[in-house]
Amino acid sequence: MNRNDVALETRKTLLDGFISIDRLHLRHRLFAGGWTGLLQREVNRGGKVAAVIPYDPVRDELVLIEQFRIGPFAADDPEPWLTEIVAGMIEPGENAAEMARRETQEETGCAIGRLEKIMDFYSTPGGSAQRIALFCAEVQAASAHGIHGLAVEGEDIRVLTKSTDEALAMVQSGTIRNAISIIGVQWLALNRDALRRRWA
Amino acid sequence: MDRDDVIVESTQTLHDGFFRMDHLHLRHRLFDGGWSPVLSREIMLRAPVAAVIPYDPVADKVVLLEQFRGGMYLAGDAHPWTIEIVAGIIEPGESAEDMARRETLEETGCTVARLEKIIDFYPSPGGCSEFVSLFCGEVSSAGAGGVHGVPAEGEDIRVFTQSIDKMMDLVASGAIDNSIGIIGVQWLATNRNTLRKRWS
Repeated sequence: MNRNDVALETRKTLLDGFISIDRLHLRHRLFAGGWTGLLQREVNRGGKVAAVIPYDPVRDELVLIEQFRIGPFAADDPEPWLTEIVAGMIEPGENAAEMARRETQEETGCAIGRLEKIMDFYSTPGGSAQRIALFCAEVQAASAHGIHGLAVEGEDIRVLTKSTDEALAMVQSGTIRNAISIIGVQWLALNRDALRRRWA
Repeated sequence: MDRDDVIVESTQTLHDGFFRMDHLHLRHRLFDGGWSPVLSREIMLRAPVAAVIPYDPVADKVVLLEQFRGGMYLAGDAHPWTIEIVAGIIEPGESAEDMARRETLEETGCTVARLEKIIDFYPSPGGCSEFVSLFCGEVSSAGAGGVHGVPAEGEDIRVFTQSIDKMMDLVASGAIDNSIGIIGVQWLATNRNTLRKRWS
């Protein structure tokens, strides 16, 4: 089935701020034939995000960042600072690859060599239109350290480096516990041999 | 740093419908010492979720679902149906394990035998409190198929089975393009040999 199998009856903006929410009333075609009743869905309008695995293929190390996150704080997480890969909103008029380079430089201080697109995905497609473009970027991990981020945007980012195996262990132990970063680290663990050959 | 390094100055509820949205003003401690200025953060408050990879270790196959997703529709996706693993909101008073078993039965028609906790994660920690507990559930894939879901909840779910190698292709091609599904597939690709030994 595709977009033509959805009939949008009404769309109302409930909130229009940093986060924007629309209430949709719609019907869609059923797998067994016929149509659903009228469904109500409240959806975050989201936005586009570029995310980057900053990877040093020579040392087999990732550059990771640690920062405060409001989601875990609101979920009563005892440690609302998360260890993550690079990610940032794509500004209108900016393409994802340019954003990936700029954000990696801003958040880690690392210059980027090669940049490869990995995949696109939705963070939570049931309730949000947010879409993520994931890249892997070639960096020199030896140059990554210190505190970064734009103070005017309230960013306070600590940079650290870990081997791919250490990062995978951090996923399994729950230290790395946000979706984008887990996908990035697991992708690297599954693909690093081919990637290191490609980038040799 | 932990929760004690955050001071909430004010909380305002912007929306309270299917989910709640709050606007917080807060300060947190900085890595270099001292405190951030007052930061403005909007946060979507959503209930915790249990997700399940329904895996048949004998046939080495996974039971997958296909369903319509409002976030993809709002994003303008040409094909707003996505291929997923099992996931559902944990009701108050219900354990994640009970929910995992109940939701797998509701969405796929399969009864879960052994159930293993894999990891917990935040799908979108920059703006949402949603927290996912991911499990792998032992099922028999023989006979899995057909259309499932609770029509009163607007669910219309097509069930099918797939090999892990084919699922990796579905991730690479973008047919599985939601974070919970990708994390589940990557985890299984990384861990299936040890899991099959454990469950044999």
